[in-house]
Amino acid sequence: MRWLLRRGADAFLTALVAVVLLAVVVHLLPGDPLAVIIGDRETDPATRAALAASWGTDRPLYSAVGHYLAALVRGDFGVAMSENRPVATILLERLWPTMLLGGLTLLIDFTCGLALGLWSALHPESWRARVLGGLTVVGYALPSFVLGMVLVWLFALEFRWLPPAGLLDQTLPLDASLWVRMADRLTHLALPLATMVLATIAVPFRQQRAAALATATQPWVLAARARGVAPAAIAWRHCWRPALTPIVTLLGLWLPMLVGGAVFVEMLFDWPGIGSLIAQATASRDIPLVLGAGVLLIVMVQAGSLLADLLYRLVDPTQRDR
Amino acid sequence: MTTQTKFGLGLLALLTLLAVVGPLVAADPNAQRDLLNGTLQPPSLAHLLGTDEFSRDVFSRLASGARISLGVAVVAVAVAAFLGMVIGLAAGASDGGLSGLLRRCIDIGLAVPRIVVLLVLLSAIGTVPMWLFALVLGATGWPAMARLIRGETLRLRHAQFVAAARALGAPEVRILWREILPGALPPVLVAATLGVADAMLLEAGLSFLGLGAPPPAASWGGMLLESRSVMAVAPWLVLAPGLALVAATSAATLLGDALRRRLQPDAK
Repeated sequence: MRWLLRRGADAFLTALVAVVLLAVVVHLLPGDPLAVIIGDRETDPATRAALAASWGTDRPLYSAVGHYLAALVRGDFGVAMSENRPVATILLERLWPTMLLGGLTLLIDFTCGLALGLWSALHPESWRARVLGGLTVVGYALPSFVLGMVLVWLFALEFRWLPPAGLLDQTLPLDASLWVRMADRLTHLALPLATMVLATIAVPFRQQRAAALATATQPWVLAARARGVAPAAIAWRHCWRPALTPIVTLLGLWLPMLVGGAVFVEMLFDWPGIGSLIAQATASRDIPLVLGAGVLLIVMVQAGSLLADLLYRLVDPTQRDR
Repeated sequence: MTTQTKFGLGLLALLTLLAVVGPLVAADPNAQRDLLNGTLQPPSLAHLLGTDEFSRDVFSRLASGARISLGVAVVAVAVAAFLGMVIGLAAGASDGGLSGLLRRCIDIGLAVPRIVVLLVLLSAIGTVPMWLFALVLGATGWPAMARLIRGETLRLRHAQFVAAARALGAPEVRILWREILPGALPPVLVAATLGVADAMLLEAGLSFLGLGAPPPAASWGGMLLESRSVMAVAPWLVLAPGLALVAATSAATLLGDALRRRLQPDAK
């Protein structure tokens, strides 16, 4: 318990300094922060000054960062300059598409990927395992958005089976039945999800295979086999469990994907999630929106590593004394 | 040497050939040949990989893009490895307050999301010269490297040969340089080779968002961005830079794996 408190305080401090650093970088950038609002319109100095005062862009650096932190502590993310709406509202809107895509990707990666990796480690000589191993080298190196473009070209443009982009069909009649809506959502999800899974699944697969291969040659596995333990029990109890540690690390590292999404994939598929929000907000130089999304990511990174450390202690009892 | 290693070396040789010799023998990558009839030509003998929407030769662009994409990735990784080495060594070898402070710096560096910083910096700079792009990419990549080197340094600090050097009266700087650094290098080399693949993907992705080499320069990510709007009629415009990227990242991954097997036989 003491350990958890110390580790939590550590994570909080790290996140805090990271937020301050990010805020400083964003505020130090050259250029007019009011350009998002004013655009090409002509403004007189008095209007500019009033705008600057109301948005707080006239503050010096330390005061701007201080104000931002003070508001953040109260749970106030500020107002997005490009949309004139609270940043928190926009983040919440964008969160569920990202969580849907990222969550399903994590789920498939850490079920199918791990199962295939374990199976490959138990049958290292079979031709299926060899083919799988070769495929994952390519999968490991495959850039997600290149894969996404090829999938769009094949399935959306050539065969016209699936929609190329977006979250749902805007032209769908309002009185469409639930099934039609569900089918619409699923067809829109198919390509981005396939892209994310195919581009990432090689990593847990290879980790699991390497770890399980290492345990498969350990004396306790041989002993279990000699005692006549069923192969399924050997795979599950004796190979899989000791091979979990690297998987836990990976899970902690990937947890931010739930909220951070994949910027490039989301942009390619016009997926209205946090990843594409970050790209759009930086392109339009909307300081509060960029910072809000950044804070969300920073918190998730810390939460991920905290969770990984917690799981370590569950999986590997020798870690508990440290 | 395994088949995988040979395959990786072969890919590396091909890509080096493309980047070094390609631009010398290929036509001008920016020449717009025939805007009336010569746009979006499929691959032929005259244009091995076809032409793009401005009737430019895709093979020439792929070759000149190889210089940009590979060059940026290698420079970025070198910068990240150098910064990581200095900070990681200092963090691992120092004692007390300084060591704690540096460890905290590495943690914080890891906590700041790299993609957000990259997007913010690159969109603020606007038109980015390639050397600056590589520098920014490298300067945001040091924390992972530093953590790795710090760990290695901590492990080696208490090794017997280091204690022996100290007992012989070697100065601390010499111990760091001659005893600890060579021991910490193998994992760094492996991580750097694998890191080239990551840097290349980031470069291509950022170029794909329009933040990379400004047109008309050809980088592989930029070519993908340009091909996106004409993908339905000219899929070869996606395949050429896409396959080149896959080949390059595969080479880096395969060679990184090979190095790991050679240099760290006990690590899994």
